[in-house]
Amino acid sequence: MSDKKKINSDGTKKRSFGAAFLHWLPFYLMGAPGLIYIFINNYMPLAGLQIAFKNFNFAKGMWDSPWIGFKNFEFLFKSKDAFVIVRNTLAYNIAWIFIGMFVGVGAAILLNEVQSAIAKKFYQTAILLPYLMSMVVIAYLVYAYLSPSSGLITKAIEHLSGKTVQFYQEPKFWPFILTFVNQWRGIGFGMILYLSSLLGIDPGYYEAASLDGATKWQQIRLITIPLLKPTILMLLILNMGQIFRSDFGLFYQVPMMQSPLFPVTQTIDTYVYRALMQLNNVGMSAAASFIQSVVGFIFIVTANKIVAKLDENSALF
Amino acid sequence: MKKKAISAILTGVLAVSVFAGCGSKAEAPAKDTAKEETAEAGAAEAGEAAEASVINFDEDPYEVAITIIGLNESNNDLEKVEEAVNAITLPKINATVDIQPLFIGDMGTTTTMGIAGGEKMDIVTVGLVYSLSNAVSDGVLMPLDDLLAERGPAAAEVTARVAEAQKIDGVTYALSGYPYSAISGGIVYNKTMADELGIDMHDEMTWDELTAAGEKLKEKGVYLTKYGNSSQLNLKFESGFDVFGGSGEYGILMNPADSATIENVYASELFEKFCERNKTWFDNGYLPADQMTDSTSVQQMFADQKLFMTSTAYTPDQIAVWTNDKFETGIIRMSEPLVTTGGAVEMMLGIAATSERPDKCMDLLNLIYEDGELATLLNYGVEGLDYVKVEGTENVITYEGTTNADHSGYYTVFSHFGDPMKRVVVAPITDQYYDELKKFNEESRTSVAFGYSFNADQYPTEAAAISAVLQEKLPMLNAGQVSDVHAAVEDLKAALDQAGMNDVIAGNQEQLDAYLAK
Repeated sequence: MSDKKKINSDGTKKRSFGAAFLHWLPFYLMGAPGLIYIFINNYMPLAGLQIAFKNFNFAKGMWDSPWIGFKNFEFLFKSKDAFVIVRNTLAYNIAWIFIGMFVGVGAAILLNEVQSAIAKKFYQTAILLPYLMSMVVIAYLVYAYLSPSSGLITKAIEHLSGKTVQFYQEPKFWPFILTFVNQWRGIGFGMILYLSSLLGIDPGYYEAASLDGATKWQQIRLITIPLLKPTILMLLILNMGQIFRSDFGLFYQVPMMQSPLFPVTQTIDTYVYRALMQLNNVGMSAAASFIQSVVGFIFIVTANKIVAKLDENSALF
Repeated sequence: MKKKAISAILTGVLAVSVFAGCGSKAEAPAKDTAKEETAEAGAAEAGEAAEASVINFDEDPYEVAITIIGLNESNNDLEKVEEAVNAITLPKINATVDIQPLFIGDMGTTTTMGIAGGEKMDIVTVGLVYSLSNAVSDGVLMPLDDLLAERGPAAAEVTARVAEAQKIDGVTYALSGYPYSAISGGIVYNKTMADELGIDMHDEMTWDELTAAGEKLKEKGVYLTKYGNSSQLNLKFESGFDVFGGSGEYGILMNPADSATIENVYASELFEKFCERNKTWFDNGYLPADQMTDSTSVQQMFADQKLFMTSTAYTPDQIAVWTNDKFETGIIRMSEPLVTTGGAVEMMLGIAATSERPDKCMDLLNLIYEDGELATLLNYGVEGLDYVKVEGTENVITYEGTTNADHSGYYTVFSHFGDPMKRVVVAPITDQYYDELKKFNEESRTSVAFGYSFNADQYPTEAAAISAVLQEKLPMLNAGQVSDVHAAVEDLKAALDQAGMNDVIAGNQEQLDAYLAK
């Protein structure tokens, strides 16, 4: 706020508060719908956080339901699966944030080098397409490859080695299958922001570099990557907020709800769904979301602190 | 700059909490008075009715909203059914109806959210996926005892035999859709195929006999049965247990007619034997190899004659669900008929706590139990439009030959209205049904825990953990696809122990003992 004031009052004479307010009034009005929306949509529901600490009763309503402390949180840690759930959720997310970053930046750089406008459009659409597919459809695409009776890969392995691999009963394959599916699906969307940042880089840099005899690799390493750094860091910090949430469709649908795979496919979201499907307990669902938000908040703040230490300008706040 | 940002955020949060606080203070008392008002109004109305004891025809007719539960059928004839219902209800009780079809999966949420949100709700359905005890602890239902005494003689009479099951802590909250509630475990099978292969299907068959049938079927390329990726206690369909919770999460009564000892079914010898049997079936190739991942339903595979049989609850009319025109269907009993709370509370009608006119709701409920024509209308739609009488029978109808043959006109698969003795039946059930139903219920034994239902309010954490364990461990055991049954069952038992199942069963036993002591 103070920065803006300084810049904006540059060269103009200082105004009194009232005059300044009048001057900015149209802008406040323009911003009002957005601010009101954010207030209603993002801040007002905060009052509902109390449900996580209450024995919620529909007849009594949110405010009159009795407080029960942390009892709603217990079910998450009641089973010995608690460790597995937390490990799966965090490990997949951390791995995918970094893999997604490399793959996304790589794909964006490669796509940026494509010269033909038509080919570029085609590739971009083709890469983005899986992102628009429903997880149920993707689950059956995967099933077409891995089905025990008719899967393309299962049958190929059977013909080559004579052994039948039961993909849907062997947990050891699934960290890789899920990672592959996740990246295949997400890469198109993940690279959009990188691609748009790349388009914003002044071609003059590259011209100058190639005049000086820089190779393509040197150009990427010394011009593209440094100029992409703010975008990369921003996305990294934002992704940290999602670290304790998982893609429910991916973990629930793609492994076809197979229980032998739970040790590597059970995440906090699927666990909560399975545990509460029959109970419909609002308080316990609220507690799970509450934990997810708190952990996400801690990770965002921490990541931002680390980034700020390394490079103050790239930090979000 | 950062400090300013933080202080700005803090101010914002503070402002929000202040606003939120205002809201709560302003709202809470308002809500309370509203509640008291409706309660008073309800009491006053009930009182008036008691004095008058007749229907008031001078006022404008009240429209009673009533839910029917289905699977998202289009119900194109809904308005015509309402018209036909109104033609009966207007002259008799000065009320009209608004029939609201509801998807079974949304039953609980739609009802609770509707009540919390102050929507017009009168007669609501409980049971099925939203149990009576949950509905009562959610505060969704109105106590019915006074209304029932004043304006519901027919409803009280028809449901008398299950009256105990309709009560929670001695108060009646809903009326059963199954006044003849005896039920047993059973197996439905393809009779045409059994006759062809010389398989003898008879009541209370042993597992060895079923295994022998599996061998014959295998030669023909038909699977014996399929459990799929199921986390249910499928054993319950082949036994006479009284089950607490859908899959015995809260324990079971092993010999419900004789003993009130609640046990953990998963720790029983019978369960392990059941799992071993299923493994034998799978290893012998009687179950489909891809049963875990193939999501084709059992119903579909049975209709396509890829499966020979499947376990199901047995009642005299259950067979109607499984018949089709491609082959003859048979059904056998696997256990004695038993009257349990679970059977009686399977589907019930109650009055919403927020209903403006509980008296009118009770008038309609009473008429549904009294008037067979009205019950038939609500169950099956309009005669000639949604169904036709089968020639040569007294009370048998069929959808065939009407626009409702595909269930697009009016259809509710889960709702059961009125007195089964007074409404029609759907072919292939015959006119003998009424005698069969009576006999089946007369022959039945009653669970010692009849009338009791477990209040799981104290155990939400355990219930959630148990449910998660069953979903993880049970499907492979049901499917017979574990390598070592004993080890897998031990693993399941250990996980259930950790989830607190023994505490829940102990709590259940305590409540049951207290109930029986009364």
